[in-house]
Amino acid sequence: VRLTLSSSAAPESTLGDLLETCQRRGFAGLELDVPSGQSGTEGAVESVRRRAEGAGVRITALRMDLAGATEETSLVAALALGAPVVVPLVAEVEARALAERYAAAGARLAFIVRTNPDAARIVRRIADAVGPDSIGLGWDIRPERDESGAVPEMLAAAGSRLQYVRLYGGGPETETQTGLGVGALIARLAIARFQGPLVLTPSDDRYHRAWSSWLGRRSGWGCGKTADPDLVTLDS
Amino acid sequence: MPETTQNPIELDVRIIPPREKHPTIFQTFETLEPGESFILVNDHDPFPLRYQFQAEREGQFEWEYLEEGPTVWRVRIGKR
Repeated sequence: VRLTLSSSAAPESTLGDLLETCQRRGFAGLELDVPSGQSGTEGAVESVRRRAEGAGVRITALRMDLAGATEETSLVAALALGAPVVVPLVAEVEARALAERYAAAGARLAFIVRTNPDAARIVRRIADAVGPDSIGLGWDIRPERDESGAVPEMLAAAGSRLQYVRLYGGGPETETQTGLGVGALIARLAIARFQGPLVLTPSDDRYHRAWSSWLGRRSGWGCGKTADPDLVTLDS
Repeated sequence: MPETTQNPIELDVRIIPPREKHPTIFQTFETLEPGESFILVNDHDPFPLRYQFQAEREGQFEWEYLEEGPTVWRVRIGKR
């Protein structure tokens, strides 16, 4: 995976702050979470591209709720940044029409689904029909809700169309999470040879202070070498 | 290009809670066939892990540093 920071993890930060955090923590990329109804002017997008390139940080995705009014500018942004636009999956017919417009423009688009193999299969169907190089699957994971047993089926349903994974609560919150084990999830993604972005974002706005503190550290948690060896299993 | 085919196995443990890190690494190692390897990505030198491998998998593993900080460490861990 390529660890990627979402701008939603530090909504008060400037682009410069976000890029500096990515550099300091060794994150491979930055996801820009674009507020609803916005997509930026062409000049602003070019400025973002130049600054990210200068910092050696890749813009890995533009996440947005795509409204018709912003589709054209989002296409321009996707092409300028070389990053996929990531949008929620809508009805299949509508999604396929949107996918065809992106593919025709040479831009990349990923449809977001939750941990739902049936929804993943819909996205695969669209990608197979429209063009696998343009259309991908984005997977939103919520470790506190999702079951670890659903991960293998989801990975099988996604196949090679999986291009983006967003882990809600993937930073300081993982220490207290129960339910889906983050270690087992990351191991499964690794074994599936997934090399797309794993986007770190808070699960809720109330964790922003914890995230700010975590992102401000120079390094992570250490290795916990006395851990129980049976804590992580990949059998299911 | 699909992102899940023909890529090396790369296990990034930087956001895994400490108590899950070593179990995750050993579980991943157990999935390897002899001759296969994975790349471990960490935010510090994982030398304590190497000692654990030496104690628990003596003669069964290979260890090669690919990148040694200061921000990110990459180690290729192979199964003999």
